[in-house]
Amino acid sequence: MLSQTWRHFITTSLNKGLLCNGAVSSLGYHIRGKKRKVPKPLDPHHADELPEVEYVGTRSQPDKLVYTWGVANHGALGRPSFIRPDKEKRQYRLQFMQHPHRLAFGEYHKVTDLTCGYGFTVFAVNKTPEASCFGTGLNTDSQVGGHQPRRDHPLGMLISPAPIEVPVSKTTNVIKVAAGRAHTVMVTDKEGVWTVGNNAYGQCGRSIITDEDYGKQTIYNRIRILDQLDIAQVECGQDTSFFLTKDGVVYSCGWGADGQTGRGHYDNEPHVGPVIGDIEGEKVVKVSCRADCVLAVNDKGEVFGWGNSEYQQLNSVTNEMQIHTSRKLKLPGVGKVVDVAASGTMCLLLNEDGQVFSWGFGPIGKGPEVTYSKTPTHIPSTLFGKNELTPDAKVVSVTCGINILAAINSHGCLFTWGKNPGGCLGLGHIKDQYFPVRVAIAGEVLKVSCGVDHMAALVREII
Amino acid sequence: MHVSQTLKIFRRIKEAKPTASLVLTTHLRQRQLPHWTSYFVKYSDVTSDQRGLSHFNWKVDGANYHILRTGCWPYMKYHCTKRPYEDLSVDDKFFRVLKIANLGIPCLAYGCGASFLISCQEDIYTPEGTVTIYFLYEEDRDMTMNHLRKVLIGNLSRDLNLLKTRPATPMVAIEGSVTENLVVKVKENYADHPLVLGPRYQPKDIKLAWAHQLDKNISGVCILGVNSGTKGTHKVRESQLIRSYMVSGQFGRTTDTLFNDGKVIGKSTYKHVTRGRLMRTLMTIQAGHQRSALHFLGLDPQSQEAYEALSADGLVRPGEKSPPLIYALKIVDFNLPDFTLEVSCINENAVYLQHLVHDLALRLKTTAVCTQMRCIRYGPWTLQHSLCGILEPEALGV
Repeated sequence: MLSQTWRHFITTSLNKGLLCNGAVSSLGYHIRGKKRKVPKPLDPHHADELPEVEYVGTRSQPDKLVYTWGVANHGALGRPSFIRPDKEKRQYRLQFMQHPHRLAFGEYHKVTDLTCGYGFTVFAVNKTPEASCFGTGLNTDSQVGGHQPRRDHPLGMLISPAPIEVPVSKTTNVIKVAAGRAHTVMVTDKEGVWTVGNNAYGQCGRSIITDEDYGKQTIYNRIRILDQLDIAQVECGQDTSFFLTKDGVVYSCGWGADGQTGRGHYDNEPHVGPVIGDIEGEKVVKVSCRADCVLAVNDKGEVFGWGNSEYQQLNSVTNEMQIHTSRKLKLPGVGKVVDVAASGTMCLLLNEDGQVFSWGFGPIGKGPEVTYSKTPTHIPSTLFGKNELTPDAKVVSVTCGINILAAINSHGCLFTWGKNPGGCLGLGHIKDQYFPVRVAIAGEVLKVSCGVDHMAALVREII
Repeated sequence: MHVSQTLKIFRRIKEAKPTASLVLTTHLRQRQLPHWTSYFVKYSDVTSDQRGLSHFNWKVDGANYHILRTGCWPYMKYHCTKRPYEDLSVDDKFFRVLKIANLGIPCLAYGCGASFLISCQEDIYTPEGTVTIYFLYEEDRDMTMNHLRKVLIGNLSRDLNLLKTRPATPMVAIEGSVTENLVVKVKENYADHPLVLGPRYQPKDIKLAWAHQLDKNISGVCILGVNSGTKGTHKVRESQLIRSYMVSGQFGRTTDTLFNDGKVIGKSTYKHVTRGRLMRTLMTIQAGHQRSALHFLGLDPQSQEAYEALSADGLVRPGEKSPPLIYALKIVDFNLPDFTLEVSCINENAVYLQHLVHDLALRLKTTAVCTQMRCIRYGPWTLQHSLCGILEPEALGV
């Protein structure tokens, strides 16, 4: 090879002349700037001794969580510290929970179903030694069971979930629950349908006793007429109960002043019986009622309605303020309906394409300027998360409270809108919301239930 | 010295040498797995354990490299490109036949040429000792924007000066006395002469600004404006365009810097992570960001205007100052423990993207560290528009 001198000469001259990196004479400074010190690289084995943490097993399944939010004063959120704060733990009394709040009860129990009544929440749980149904919140009429620490002094309010001791055998589980203004309906897997709470209008399916003190005397009533039937769904209006069998027949009982029992009269109905009218002979798949207007949808995608029509909910078939017999609604241009929801003044329906339509009076979801619609109007799908990034997002179910509307889309996102007493929409404020906005819940929402001023959701974790 | 003694010493030296493959791995790791690198290592410094291999796959920390190796005495040349795994056995045999057919003469010539052209070197700290490797020219990495600015201005002024520059304006001199004949003469103007003024183009004459500050850990599209173009970069910045990044990460460990180069401070299992679960987590994050976009519209969330803006088709961009907002999250590659996401976002920075990977892993109940970030789109500009877009089309990665 060449001698060192030659080599150096050629290298440097080539560098200066051809490659032109490093210092350039015309610049006056070195473009590389200060020569950086290369930091001493880390030893690639420095982490070998670190333990590997297993946060989740390979075979573990995602857990179900319970979230509640809304007015905290009446204990329906199920967290004692909101009402009885422990000052030593820096807890403070809370009136409104404006965001979804993860309920510790859900961590210790396998919740299968939940429902919100007027100021109380009921949970159906699986595999527990004490009871398979729990309730929290207002208990003025024993709607969450009889709780008397002292004899003749029933608790009018529960601040954390307590068992509802339905007189069934230990192997029987409550699988579905529904709650109205002050009564609860529970469906068990082996021992029929049970009701508890206020029966002033016959909503518990037993004869009305005048001057009955529902708070002091807890009566669990098994509805014998439904014993031989498979119950697919239970739904409670304000003081009305509906039972939908797997054959598609709707049974009802309770308050009928607006004809919401659908039994052909406007009286209270303590005896459970099938709804009459156009619905007879149809296979109903869903019935919805939160106040006094009732909507039902059959397997062909046709909608039936009865009850209150003061806000033109049923104006396609009647000009009356109320009807006591079910009628098939004429709703042109909405396609095949798969889900319905009837609140106090507004109605929602969902068609098979995942489009949501609303009508009635109030914040129906078309912005603050539209507060009244006689016919179903389409709420833009973009508000339910369908956009160019997630074109496959579509609504899969709709729910409502008295003044609250909610929808869940195929990605498990929950959207709420409507009146917002006590921040019960879970949007972080207490202003009314006039169009659907997503509620921040980390997980896939499976079921949501709306009370009058609070909400509860059953959520599946991602992992 | 006795022959056996000499042999013993030689053997000891030979034993102490790190292998060529270890040097390769350590170098790639030390460089934080670059897209591309090319270096020489001396035969005398290493134990050659890849003799005969010409074109092969090499896996380092989950990244796969295609290595072109050739022996060119006194060096071995390694040319590494980050690419997905491919079967390279045919190429390997072809190159080997080619080398043998040429009796290795071009290889030797390459080695001789390279020994003159090598301009810089770097130390590789292998566990079995330090090895020096050589480069034809310095490979840039961890370049800050300020550094990039200096390099670009330097290169611009240097190259512009190599072109035919403006000639010196002539000096017009009127000589003689007023009473007598005045003579107009054109003289050489020393006041405008490059030898007096210096080169025509000087670094201080060139302004350079950028639309978005890219961190040293990010590579890819970067909008720069030169001189009057600096106004343009300002406009680009003001118009709040959406940027897209390829963000790679690796499950199983977390570091103190949240980036690949940091010290590992925690390890965890990741076998439970599936593509579906990752997808659902990304959906949740993205939906949360879409919701928060409502608050940065610059409109009252209860107003009719907000309803109309949100119900219209298309993405909503913030009307005011906002924190980072993510518009899209997509899985580009998922191959445990490595994954690559395409993130479209606004108002982000490198630390935010690193945190995104970190938080994503926490939601998945594991840990992850960001290994690479690459800006692939800035509004309408993509990698194809960039100056190096023609050079590395495979870098698009999609």
